Amino acid sequence: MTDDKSRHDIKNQLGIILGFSEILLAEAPAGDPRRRDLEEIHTAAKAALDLLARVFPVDADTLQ
Amino acid sequence: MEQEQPIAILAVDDEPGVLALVRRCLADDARVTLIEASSGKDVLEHVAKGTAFDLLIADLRMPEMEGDEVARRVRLVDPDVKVLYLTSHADRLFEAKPQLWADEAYLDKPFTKEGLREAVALLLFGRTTL
Repeated sequence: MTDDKSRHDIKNQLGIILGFSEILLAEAPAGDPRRRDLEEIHTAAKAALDLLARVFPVDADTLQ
Repeated sequence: MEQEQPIAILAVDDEPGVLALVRRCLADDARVTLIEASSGKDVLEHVAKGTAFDLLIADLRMPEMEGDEVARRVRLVDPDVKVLYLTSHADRLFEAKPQLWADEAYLDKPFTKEGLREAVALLLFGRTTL
């Protein structure tokens, strides 16, 4: 698997985690103790996305 | 298109989780009927069967047939279909496809519920809310 394909696939998976955790955070009522757990998931997914950009920088000849 | 009209959207992505997220983002809108496809071939089978839709949401990068090729073939049959590309690198999209056609837009991955709904609303209604 190329770096580009790996980056695309990992980014897809992290995007799914981020997207669902954001939706659940928006729906969770204030004071719900699960909010903190959701925030941890969301923060970790964002950190992983940043890490991905460092580990697999975009090549100049890479498209999409 | 009027805002109160039913909306048919066909979403294609080879990653089931992305389709699940698109479904979740649009689920609370009773006007929306979402048709899901896992490949360009699936989309073309829907088109061949006569499935009509207002908007194609297409992952740009898919095995076998990429999203812009899927859109091109869909529009040979129905030129009025609007297209929203999902892409991991929007800046790179324009190197592969220097000019978007009319009624096309792109949304960078990862996307939010609000971002997806806003892009859909802009394409279908020319405004930022569905």
